[in-house]
Amino acid sequence: MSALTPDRLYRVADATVLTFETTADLAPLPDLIEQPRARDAINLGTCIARPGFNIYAIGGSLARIRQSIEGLLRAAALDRPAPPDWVYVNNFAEPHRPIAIPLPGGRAPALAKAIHELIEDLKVALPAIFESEDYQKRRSGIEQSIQQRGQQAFAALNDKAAAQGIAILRTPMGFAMAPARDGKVVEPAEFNTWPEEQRKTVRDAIEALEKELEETLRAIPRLEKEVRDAVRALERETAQFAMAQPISELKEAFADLPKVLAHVDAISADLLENVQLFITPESSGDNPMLAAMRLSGALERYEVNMLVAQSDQGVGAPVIEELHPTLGNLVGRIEYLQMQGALVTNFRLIKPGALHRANGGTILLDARALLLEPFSWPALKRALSRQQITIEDAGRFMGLAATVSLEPDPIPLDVKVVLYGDRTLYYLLTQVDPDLATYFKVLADFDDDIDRSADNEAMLARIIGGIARQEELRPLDRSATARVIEQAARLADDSGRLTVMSEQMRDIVIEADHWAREAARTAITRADIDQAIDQHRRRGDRIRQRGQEMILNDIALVATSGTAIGQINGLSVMSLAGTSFGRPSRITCRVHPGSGRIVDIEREVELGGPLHSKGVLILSGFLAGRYALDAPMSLSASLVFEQSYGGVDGDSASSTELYALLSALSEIPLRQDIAVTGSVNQHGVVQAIGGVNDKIEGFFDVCAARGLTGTQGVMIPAANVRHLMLRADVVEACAGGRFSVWPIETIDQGIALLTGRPAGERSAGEGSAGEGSAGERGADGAYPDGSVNRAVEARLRLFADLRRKSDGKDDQS
Amino acid sequence: MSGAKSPAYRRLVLELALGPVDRSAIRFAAEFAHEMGLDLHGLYIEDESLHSLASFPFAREIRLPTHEWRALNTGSLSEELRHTAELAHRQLREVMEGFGMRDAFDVRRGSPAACVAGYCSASDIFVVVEPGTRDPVRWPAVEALQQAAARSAASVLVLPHRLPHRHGFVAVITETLDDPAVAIAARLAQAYRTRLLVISSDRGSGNVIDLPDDRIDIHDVKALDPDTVLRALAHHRERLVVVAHSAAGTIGMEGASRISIHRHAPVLVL
Repeated sequence: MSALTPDRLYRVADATVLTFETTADLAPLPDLIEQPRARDAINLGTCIARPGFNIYAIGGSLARIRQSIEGLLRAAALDRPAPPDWVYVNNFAEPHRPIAIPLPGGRAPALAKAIHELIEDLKVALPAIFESEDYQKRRSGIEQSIQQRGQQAFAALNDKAAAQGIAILRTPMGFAMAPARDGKVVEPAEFNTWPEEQRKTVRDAIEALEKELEETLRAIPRLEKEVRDAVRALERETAQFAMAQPISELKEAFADLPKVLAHVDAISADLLENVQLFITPESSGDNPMLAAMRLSGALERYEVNMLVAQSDQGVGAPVIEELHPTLGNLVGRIEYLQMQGALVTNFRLIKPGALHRANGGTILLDARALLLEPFSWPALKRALSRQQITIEDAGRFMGLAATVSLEPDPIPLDVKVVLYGDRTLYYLLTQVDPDLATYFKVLADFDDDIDRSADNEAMLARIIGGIARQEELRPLDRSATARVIEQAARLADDSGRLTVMSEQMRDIVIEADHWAREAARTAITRADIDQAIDQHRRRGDRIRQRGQEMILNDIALVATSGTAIGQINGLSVMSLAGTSFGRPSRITCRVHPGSGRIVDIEREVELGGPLHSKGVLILSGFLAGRYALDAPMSLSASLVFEQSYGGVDGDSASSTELYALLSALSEIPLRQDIAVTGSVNQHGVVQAIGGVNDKIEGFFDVCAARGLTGTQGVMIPAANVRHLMLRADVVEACAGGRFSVWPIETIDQGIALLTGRPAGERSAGEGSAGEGSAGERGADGAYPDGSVNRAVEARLRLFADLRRKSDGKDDQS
Repeated sequence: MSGAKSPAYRRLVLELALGPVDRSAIRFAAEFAHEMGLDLHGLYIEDESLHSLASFPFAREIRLPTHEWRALNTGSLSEELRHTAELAHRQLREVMEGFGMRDAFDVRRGSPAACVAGYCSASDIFVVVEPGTRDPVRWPAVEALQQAAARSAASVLVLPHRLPHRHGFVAVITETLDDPAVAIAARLAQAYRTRLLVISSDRGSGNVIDLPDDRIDIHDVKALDPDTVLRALAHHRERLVVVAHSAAGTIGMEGASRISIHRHAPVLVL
């Protein structure tokens, strides 16, 4: 078995495409390289203006997706017309239901300004006209003419009473009548001296006059109302005169917008009804209600709440991203003011949400952020379902708000929603929320990595250059760019692919820029990239280092030399917070006659996951299919990851466990200077696993620390060779013959390497139909002497015999 | 109105017995007293006729605003008079406190004319507030009070029911420019930092007013009757009209009241 040559262990970047001096020479590359599927999906989603054809973009690199989509959307938005502006205005008939008015894009500020100026003008013009001599004269005239009627009626009654010797007196609470003489009230003592007839006459007169007094007094409220009505009519007439010109000018400016004209008419009517609001405090006297209304900004009711103005949003249709999609930030909210201990609100306190700003364009939302906000996801679905934005109050949902609120007119919604998020979340959402398919019909699935062709390497170089330019970093020289490309392959865990997870590449380049600055270089070099990668690894290296120290101190038992029966070095990968490393572990196996069961100790103690258990169960299939075909499997075996106290999952150790099992059965020792990884199927074919680079480096580190012997190495599945992007020190050791990586295709190849003995092939005898056929028996169908398989089969036959004998004894007894 | 009046005023007397007074009128009185350096006094007159009336067994009153008839007796009448006086006192005190004035409020019992005559001296200005349209039934009482005040030694300040503005000229109506009232009006104009409008029938006597010429407008009229005065004021805006002693005879209390109502301005009859 030949070890891999160094060129198979690390694929260097294609020098033929890196023909620049530094990345500063490269033109920036548009986003979405080599993502035709995602690009087509987004183009489709943006082109279909039908309900539900919103886009859900998924992938591993959210920042890259967001950036890429935004670029595409902004480019598409430039060709789309600017949507209308939206304003909320007061509903004078039902103030709790503000009216939404659309205006052609950019005209909302003009309306707001025009109405504001109208009110400001009226603040000056109306008080002036109400204080004018003409107005005051007319008002006084009205009041006096009506007042005189009252006075005359009362004076007439007074005169009539006086003529009959009766005085009308004002009491604290009203009026009364008394007998009088010479204008003075007669004292009761004197009155009693009058003849009875005279006294009766006076009493009768008083009685009659009282009725007239009552009638006269009852007429007073009517007179007062007449005054009020007449004064109000005068006020309206006066105000109408003052308002006519500015209102007419305002309507002329917005003559093409019927809704605006209707609102101006409503303003005009309300102004006439509430003209007192404009009269100065001096002239309004002591009316506390008017004073309070002024304090609370009652005139604001005429203003315009400019909800969305396209002039704020640039050219074309808007593309809005909401990073914090709370319910209020999404669908808008109604704010409140505290006034004299109560919470009050009005249409001016309606604040727009991202949907308002994006209406007519596109809104970009992080799916995770959206789902984490209470009420936001259902509110978005409701908005999409009804195709209108209804402002909802989270406080009301939770029963927290008990104050009077508003029900603003819903605003028609025409928006393209683009969610982006990781795949797990998307697939989870598809399972738990059937509405997802209704509202997000377009899936844009971004690949995390791309083929590593020369063209793609060249494109990646331009992306790297773009990152450096965008972050205002030093440019990367050719070697540094090549190193980043190679690292992109390592991050993809495949020498034949390149990751497009730009965050990780950005981090490397930024950190390398730091080291270049420290070294006073004008461009980032390969050494800076190496240092950045090494430093990144070092920062997360504490746990790996502790694990290695335990191995080197023989606390965790991992042999890197010698041989042992039923004992082998397995490899696992530990992933923690974005870093991963390989860790060698000792796997052991013990066998004895039994019922044919292989005990997975990890599973028994619930430390093994289902995939690991599956791998172990495959071993039984392999043994049953290959050995002792004429007897029941009478083996009992136990397999264990020694000194493993955490969970183990995955089947990448199944070939390793099989080697340990074969060794234990054949009693042939295995080399301890080799570590093994790879899964196996029931036919003994070794299959690819993940994390191959980390695993090899994990064992290499232990061997290197103890001193490389030249015999040490790692057996990997041959299918994993294309994934190799090993560290430079590992490649260097292999090139120097101090370490080896062997590609293994079958268990037979592996066991031969581990034992130094041939696995052995069953010779083709009479009736032999190959492995697994129950019919092949006899000397011709046996494995050759000295082979591992021969020894394994012999041991299994022995176990079967022992079992048969044991069963026979049981039957006799 | 008595004969020669001294311009050395000490008190501004505000009568409060005729029902609730417009608060803006009380405030104006307080400001005016403040500007003139006068003490503001509240006066509540209990009309003794009411006590006589209440002694009649058939006495009853129609109560406002319910128009309900109820028997009158001395006990309930006294209680209501006391309550009304307290209310008026409190209303006045609140405004006076705002101006940092000392509380001064008196209650007198008797005929209103006699009380006014007895209470007021030549160093007083007696304030009468026009009842306004809303209370025409108060007019006879107010008229009676105005006449009583006019007959007393005090000067009279007539306040309109509504005080729509308090800026503009101080206008003085005088027969002669050397009337002491003109000097008082000039002083008020200076205090208010405004101009003085003199409406006079005294032609050719020259300017004897202690104000720069550019702060005075003199409007000559042929006669000083209320109609002429109102015409003269038609194109001006005034914050206060002063009727000088020399013109008081021609204008009269009724004329002052007319000017106040027409112009919605306070009229001070000296």
